[in-house]
Amino acid sequence: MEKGEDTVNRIVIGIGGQGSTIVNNILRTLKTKAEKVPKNQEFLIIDTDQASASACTEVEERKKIILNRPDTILMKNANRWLPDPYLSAAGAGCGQHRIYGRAMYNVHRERIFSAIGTAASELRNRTGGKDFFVIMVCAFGGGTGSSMLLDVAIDIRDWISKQFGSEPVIFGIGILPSSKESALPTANALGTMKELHFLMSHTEDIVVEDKNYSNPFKLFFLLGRDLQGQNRDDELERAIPRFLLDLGFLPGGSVETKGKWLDLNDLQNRARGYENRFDSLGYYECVFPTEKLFLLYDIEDETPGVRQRLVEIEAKISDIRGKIDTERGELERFEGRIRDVQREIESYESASGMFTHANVGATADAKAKVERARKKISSLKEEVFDLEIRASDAEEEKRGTERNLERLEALKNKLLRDITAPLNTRSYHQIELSEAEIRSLKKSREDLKNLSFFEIMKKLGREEEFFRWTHSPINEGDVIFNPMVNYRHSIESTMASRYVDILHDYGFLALDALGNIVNEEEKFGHFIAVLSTRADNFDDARLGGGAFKTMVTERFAKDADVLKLDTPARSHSFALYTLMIGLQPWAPGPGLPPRLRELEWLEKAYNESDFIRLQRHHSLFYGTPKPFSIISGLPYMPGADDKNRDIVTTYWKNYEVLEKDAIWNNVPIVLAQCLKLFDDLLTGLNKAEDIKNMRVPDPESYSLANLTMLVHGLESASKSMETMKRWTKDAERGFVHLKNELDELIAKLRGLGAATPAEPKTEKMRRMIDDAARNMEILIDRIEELSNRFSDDIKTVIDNSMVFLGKIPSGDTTPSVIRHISKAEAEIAKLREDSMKVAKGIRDMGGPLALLLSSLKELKKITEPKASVPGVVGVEREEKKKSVELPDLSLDMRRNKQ
Amino acid sequence: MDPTSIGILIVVLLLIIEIVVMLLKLKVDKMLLLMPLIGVVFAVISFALNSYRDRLLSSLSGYAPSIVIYGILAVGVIFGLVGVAIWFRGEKEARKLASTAKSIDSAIAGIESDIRGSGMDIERFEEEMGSIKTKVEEYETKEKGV
Repeated sequence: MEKGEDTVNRIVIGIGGQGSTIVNNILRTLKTKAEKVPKNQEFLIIDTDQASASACTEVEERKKIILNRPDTILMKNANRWLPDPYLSAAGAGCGQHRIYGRAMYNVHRERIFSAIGTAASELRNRTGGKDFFVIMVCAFGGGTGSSMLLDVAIDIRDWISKQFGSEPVIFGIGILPSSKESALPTANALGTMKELHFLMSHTEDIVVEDKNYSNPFKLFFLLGRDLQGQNRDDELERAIPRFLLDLGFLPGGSVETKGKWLDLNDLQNRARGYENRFDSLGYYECVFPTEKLFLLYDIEDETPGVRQRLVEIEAKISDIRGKIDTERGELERFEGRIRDVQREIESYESASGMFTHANVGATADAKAKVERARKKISSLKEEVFDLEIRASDAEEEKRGTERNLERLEALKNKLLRDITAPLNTRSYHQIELSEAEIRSLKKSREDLKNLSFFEIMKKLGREEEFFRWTHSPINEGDVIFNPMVNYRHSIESTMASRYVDILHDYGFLALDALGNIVNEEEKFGHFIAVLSTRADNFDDARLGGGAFKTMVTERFAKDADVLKLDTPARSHSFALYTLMIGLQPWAPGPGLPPRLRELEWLEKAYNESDFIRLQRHHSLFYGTPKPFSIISGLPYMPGADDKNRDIVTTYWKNYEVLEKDAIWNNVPIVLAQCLKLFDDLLTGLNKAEDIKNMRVPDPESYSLANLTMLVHGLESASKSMETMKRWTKDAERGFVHLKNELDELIAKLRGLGAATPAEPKTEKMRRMIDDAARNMEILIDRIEELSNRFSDDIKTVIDNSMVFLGKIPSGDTTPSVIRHISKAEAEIAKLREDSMKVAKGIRDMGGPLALLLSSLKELKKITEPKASVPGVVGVEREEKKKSVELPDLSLDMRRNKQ
Repeated sequence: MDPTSIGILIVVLLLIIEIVVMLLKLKVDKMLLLMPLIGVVFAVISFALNSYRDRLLSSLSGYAPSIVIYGILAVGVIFGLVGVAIWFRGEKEARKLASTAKSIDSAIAGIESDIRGSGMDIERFEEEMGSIKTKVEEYETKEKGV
C-alpha cells in the first residue's frame, strides 16, 4: 500500500480490560514507530473498570468510554428482564458476568454511540473518505468485552452504513481463556462463541426493530492464551500489534515495504465464503540479534569509562569534604579575628581628648569591610553546610551510580546470556551466538549494519542454519502447525487412527503419496503465509513456496498462498505471519475431541453450570425477545420478561458451535464407530473360543501333573470368563451409547432441513449402513444360538473336568492332591456362575443391537435421494457386496476355519 | 627688631601653620588642636617677653631673662611637636586597622571562591552521574525493546 493514498478510515476499538490493553499496546507500538497516529486512524476503548481504563495511558482521555455502574433502581428500570442477583456486580467492571454486561450496554448505549459516532465523523471530516475499516478486540472470558462485542459490532455496522452509505469492513479479534483459568471466564468464552457463531451463521440481512442481526464481521480471529499448556500472553502482546501494524492493517506504524502484496480488498476476496467460520493468526519470527549485539558492544565500551570516572568523582568528593572541614575552621577563625578587629576599631574610635587622634574616615572603610566579611562569613557558613549536605548527597548519588553500574553490568551479562543462550519458543527463534562469534563480530560492527541476515550467517559459516530456521518452516510445512490457537488440523490426530482404516476403506479418506490422510471435508478455507524480510534474505529455490502450497492444499486447506513482503528495514529478521481463514472448531464426529482444543475446557466449564447459573454466561437476545423469536422461530410471551429470558437461556444451552452442513460429515464417523464396535464384538467372542478350547486331561490317565494342568487351565479360563463378563457389559453399554449418538445425529439431520450431500457421498454412507446393518441382522438372528452354544460348550468343559476329578484314585489323595481338587472345584463353581452371566450378556446384546439396527435403517432413509437412479446404485451395491466379505460370526465356522 | 624676635615669630608662624593644616587637611579632633594652640600661646608669651625684656624682665640679671624666654619658647615648640606626634600615632593605627580589615575581606573572598568552586564541582558530578543513570535507563529500555 502506498503512503498518502490511503483514505480508508480505520477505527480500532478495545472492549473490556484485555481488549483495551491490547489497543493500548497497538497505540504504543504505533507511536514508537511513527511518532504520531496517522490522521485516518482512531483508537477507542470501552470499559466498565475505571482503574483498568486509566492504565491505558496511550489512549486519549476523550477516547476512553468508561461506563459507570448505575444504581440498582436505574438498572432494573432499564432492564426489566435482569434477575435480581445480577442488578449489581461483584468486583471490578461487570464482575465477569456477561448478563450484567448486557444490562450495562442497554443503560449506556447512547453514550457509546455518541463517542464512536463522534470519532467516525471526525475521521470522515479529516480524510474525506467514506470507507471504514473497524477492528474490534476483546477477551471472551471477561464480562464487559464479551457481552458488548456483538451489539457494538451490529450497531456500528448499521450506524456507519446509514450515515455514510457504505458498509464498514469489520474484523474481530477474540482472546480465548487458557485452560488454567477459573470456570466463570472459561464458560463465558463458550457463551460468547455460541452467540458469535449464531450471528456469523446468518449471512443474509435480518432486520428486526431497526437492527440488522446478520453477521457484522468479515473475519473473526480467535487467539488462545496458551499453547499446549504454556502461557502465551507475552507472545499475544507482541504478535497482535505487530500483525496489525506490519501487515498494513493499520498503516503508519508498518515498516516500509516495497510493492503491493495484500490489502483489505484482497483479504476480503480470499475470505469470501468463509465469513461464517472462525479464523486465526499465526506468527513466527527468526532474528539475528543485531540490536542486542550493538547494545552489548555499547555497554561494553561504556562501562570502563564510567567506572574510571566514578573513581575520579569519589576522590574529588573526598577532597571536597576535606576542604569543607578546613574552610569551616578558617571561617570560624576569621570570625574570631573579625570580632577582635571590630573591638579594636571600636576602641580606636571611642578614644578622644587632647592626647589622642582617631581617623574616623579611614576606619569607616575598614569597618565596612569587616562588617561585610562578617556577613559573608555567616552566609558562607550556610553555604559550607549546604555544600556538606550536597557532598553527602553526591556521595549517596555516587553509590546509586555504582549500583547503576552494577545494573549495567547485570544488563551486559543478561544480554550476553540472551545472545549466547536465547529462550526460543515455537513462535520466536533467535540465532544463538558463541562468545567467540560475538567478539569476532565486534571487529566488523559497522559492516554488520549493512549486511543482510543471510550475509551475516554466511560470514559466520552458518548459512545452512539460516535456511533451516527461515526457509524450512515453509518448505517443510511447519508453519501450518503454528497458529495462535490450539487447532488440530488433521483427522488423524483427533481420531487416533481408530476409524481411519474403515473410513479409508469406504472412500471417505484418501492417502497422499507419503501416506498422509487427505480429507476434503475437514480442510479449512484459506491459508496465507506472509514472509516479511529484506529481499536479499529470500532464496526462492530453498523456499519451495510452490511445493508448500501444494502440500497445504492437498492436506489442510482448500486454498493457500505464500506472499513475500520486501521490508528493507527488516534486514536481520525473518518474520512469518500466517492467516488461517475458515476454521472448523467443532469435533470431526460424535465422541471425538474438537479440532479447536480450547473447546474442550470451555465446554467442560460451561456444562458445570446449572440452568440458573448459566444465564450469567450469556448476553445476546436478553431483553429483546421479539428479534430472538423471529430469528430462532421460538415463541415468546410479551411482557413475561423472566420466561422470555429463560427461553433464550435454554436456546443458548442447546446451541452447538457446529456448522449445519458439517453435521453430514458426522455420519460416516458414527457409522465407522458402528463397524468398529462390531469388530470389537467379534474380538470379544474370540475370547469365548479360548475358554471353550481349554484342554481337559483324559480321566483314565490320572497323574499329579495332569491334575495340576487342569487346575491351571481352570484358573486361566476363570480369568478369561471374568474378562468376558466385563466385556459383555461394556459392549452392551457401547451399543446403547452408539444408538443414542445415532439417534441424536438423526434428530440433527432431520432438524437441518437442508438437502442431502452430493450422491457419491450419500452412496458411500448407504454402503456403510448396509454393511453395518447386515452384520447386525446376522448377529441378531444368531445371538440366541451363539449364547446357547457358548453355554453348552462351557458345560462340556465343566462336565469333563468333573469327570476327571471324580476318577482320581482314592489312594492318591494326599494333602497336596486334596488342595488341588478343592481349588479346581472352586474354579469350576465360579466358571459355571460366570458363564451363565456371560451367556445372558451375549443374549442381552440383542436388544440394543436391534435398536441400533432400527436407528441405522432410519438413517438410511434420510440418506436416500429424493429421486434416485436405482439401477446405477444397485449395481454399485452389488459390486460392494462382492468386494467386502461378511465377518464370520459363528463359533463353529471359526472352529472349522482353524 | 632683633633676630631673636624674628626667630620666635617664625616659630609662632610654624605653629599657626600646623594648626591650620591640622584643622583643614588632617581633620583632627578639636582637642588635639589645643596642643599647637598652647604652643602658639607659649611662643607669643616668649615673643612678648623678648620684646619687652627690658621692662618685664629687668628685675632678672645676667642670662636669666634669656633662659626664661627660650624656656617658654621651647615649651611652645614641644606642645606643637607632641600634637604632630599624637596625630601620626592615630593615623598609623587607623592604617593598621584598615589593612587588617582588607586582609580579612580578601581571605573570605578566597574561601568563598573555593566553596563556590567545590559547589560547581559537585554540580558537575551530579550532572555526570545523572547522565550515567539516564544512559543506564536508556540501555535498559533499549534492552526491553530488542
